This record gives sequence, C-alpha cells and structure tokens, in this order.
Amino acid sequence: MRRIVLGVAAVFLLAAGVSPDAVAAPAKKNTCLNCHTNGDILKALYKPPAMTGGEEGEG
Amino acid sequence: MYKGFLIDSAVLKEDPHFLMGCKFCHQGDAAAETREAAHKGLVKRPSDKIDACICCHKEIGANYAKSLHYTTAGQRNGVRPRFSAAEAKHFDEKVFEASCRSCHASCGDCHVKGPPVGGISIGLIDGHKFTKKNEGKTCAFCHGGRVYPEFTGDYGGNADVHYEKGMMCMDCHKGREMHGDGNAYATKQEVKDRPACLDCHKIGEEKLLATKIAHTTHRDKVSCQGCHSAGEYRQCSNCHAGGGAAAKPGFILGLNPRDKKTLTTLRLIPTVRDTFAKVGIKMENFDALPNYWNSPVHNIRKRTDRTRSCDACHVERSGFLTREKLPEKGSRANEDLIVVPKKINR
Repeated sequence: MRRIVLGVAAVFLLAAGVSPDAVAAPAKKNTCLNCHTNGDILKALYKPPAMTGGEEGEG
Repeated sequence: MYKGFLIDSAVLKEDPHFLMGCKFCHQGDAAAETREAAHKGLVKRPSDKIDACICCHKEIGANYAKSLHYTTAGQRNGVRPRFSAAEAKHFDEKVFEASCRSCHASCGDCHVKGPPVGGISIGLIDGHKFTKKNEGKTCAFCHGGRVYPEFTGDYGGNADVHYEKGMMCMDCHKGREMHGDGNAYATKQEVKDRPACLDCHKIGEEKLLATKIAHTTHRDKVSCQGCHSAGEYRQCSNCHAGGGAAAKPGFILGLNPRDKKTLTTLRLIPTVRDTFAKVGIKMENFDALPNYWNSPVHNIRKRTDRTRSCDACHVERSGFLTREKLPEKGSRANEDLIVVPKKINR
C-alpha cells in the first residue's frame, strides 16, 4: 500500500515538473518570465539610458 | 524605467496571446541563464512587420499594412511636391525610410508597449496586457508635440471643451480610422468619413438665433475652427534634417491651401529651403507649396473672441495672416493664403 501511494505521488510530481509551455513556468525554471514578472530582478538588471547635457541639468 | 518591462502575471493565465509562449513573438533564448544570452536575437517590436499579428487578426492586419499610421505616406507625400523628380527619388531611397518612416506605428505601439519617441518609451502600457486603447500612453506620445497638449490644455491656454467633457481621441477617431479600410491612401485628406464637427453638432439645431445667423452666414466660408479655436497653438519652424526645429505659440487665420474658398486656422510647416540640404536635397520646387497647412486645431471652445464679437475679424482682423507676418525667405505661395475680411454693415 505504501509503495502504491509513493508511486502515485511520484507520477504526480513528474507531471507537475513538465509545464505546458513557458506560460505557467515554475519559479525555478529559467525562462523570460523569471525576470519579467519580478520587479526586484528587473530593477537590479535595468540600466538607465545615458544622460546628455550639462552636469547641472537643464534649466 | 524598469517597470516598463514588468509583466503582470495575472495576464499570462487569462490572455490567449500567451498560449504560444514568449519566444513565438520575441525570439531570443527562453532557456538562457543570463540576460545577454536570453536577449540574443531578441525581437523587441514583433508587430513591426505585422506578421506576428496577422496570423489571427487577418482582416485588421491586412488593412493596417496599408493604413497611414503604418505607411506614414502622408509625411512623404506632403513634402514631395517640393522636390524635382531626381530629388524625389533620392528622398525615397535615402531619406524617407531612414528618417520619417521610423515614426510609423506598429500594432504593439498602440496595444502593448508605448511607442518610442526620440528613442524613449514609457514601456508596457499595462503589464503586457493587449489593451484596446489608452490614448494617454499612445496617441499622446507620437502626437505629443502639438495636437495632444493643445487638446488637454497642457500647452497653455484653455483645454479643448471635448477633453473637459471627458472625451478622448478614440471618441472621434475610431478604430476603423486607425486600422484603415484596406485602401492605400496618399494622405489623410483622401480618407473618407473622417471625423467632422457636423457629425454631432448639426446646423439648424442651435438654441440662440444669433448663433443660427452666425452659422448660416459663415457656412462654407469659414471652418469650425476658424471661429471656435480657443487661441494660440504650437507653430514649429526652421526644421533641419538631423537638427530638429524651433517652436512658439501663435494663432493664424488664412485661406485653406487645399480649399481657397474657406478661411481656417493655419499651422506653420517647419520646412524651410535648406531643411534637407544636409542630405543633398535643395527642394527645387520649394515654392510649389506654401509654408502653411490648414490645421483642425484641437483647442475648441464654444465661446471665443471671434464668437463674442464680429469686430474681432471684421474690424481688428485679429490673427489674420498678413505680408508682414510671412516667414523670411518663405514660399511664394504664401501670399495666396492672405485674405482681408470684409467690413460689415451694421
């Protein structure tokens, strides 16, 4: 009985590990969405465009 | 700003656009472990060539491919009469695609991510939702130099009464106008069924007799904006390829260059004789067009100086184009737009 329960659990775990596409990607998988749905990661990666003009800024 | 690239997770589950995954539109490498590797081969604006959208949106996509927002043909054809045949060929091959055409709108620019202006974009309109409309984040950017801030009052002066009543661009300029009807028009003047004041404001239904008389007297002689433009709007001048233009407020009344029987609000065209000198175009037929176009200025008010008193036009001639106001070294065609309003008997 115990072996049956463990076997069924293993099947479920395997099924959960295979996502239908990148849409419902688990957090551990390294897809576009890992970064693009996480504000903290994006903030760390974002590089603002270079500023042009004087050091004091525009008037 | 980084938030411009932040996707709303809730959208991923609800929107069928995401069923095919990110790579379907954006390419890149979804399995890569670094930003640089993931973005290799990335397509930032997948709808730039419409193909990404036309697989499902067949009719709209086919129409849009010929629409003025996509072809920007109006920008090309508006200036072309000033060129000789050789200059027109050079303009088409070397200048238009590299410069003017870069302003065309992709599907995504209106429905997904704000259009880049001067290389700067606000990013995703709403967390990568495919939004039907959001004028403040789309129209406002490309048309943010003139029409939009004049409409909202941000340019100074009064806001357009339609804006004050809660109307936005798409309340008059419907989706069909934006998407096109499948015809490749040369300019917007060729497009039938563009919004017109008379679509909503019918002549003959005015409440006051004085208003009825004013409308009847000036009908087919003066455009709606001629009386109902609230005041000054942006006049751009002295544009040079790669160098930008200057701008200042102004209010100009003159004959419509496209219909010289009608008085209307005019807007200065920033093209000057050496606008394209840097790219080898002298504009041999510069005088074929004037330095002004008729402009349906979007700063409408019910009551203006011109509706309050006939004297504003017929005595003071306030705002009327005169020889003294013409730009230096301007087109010889400008003088055809000058009109002196008749004195009226009281």
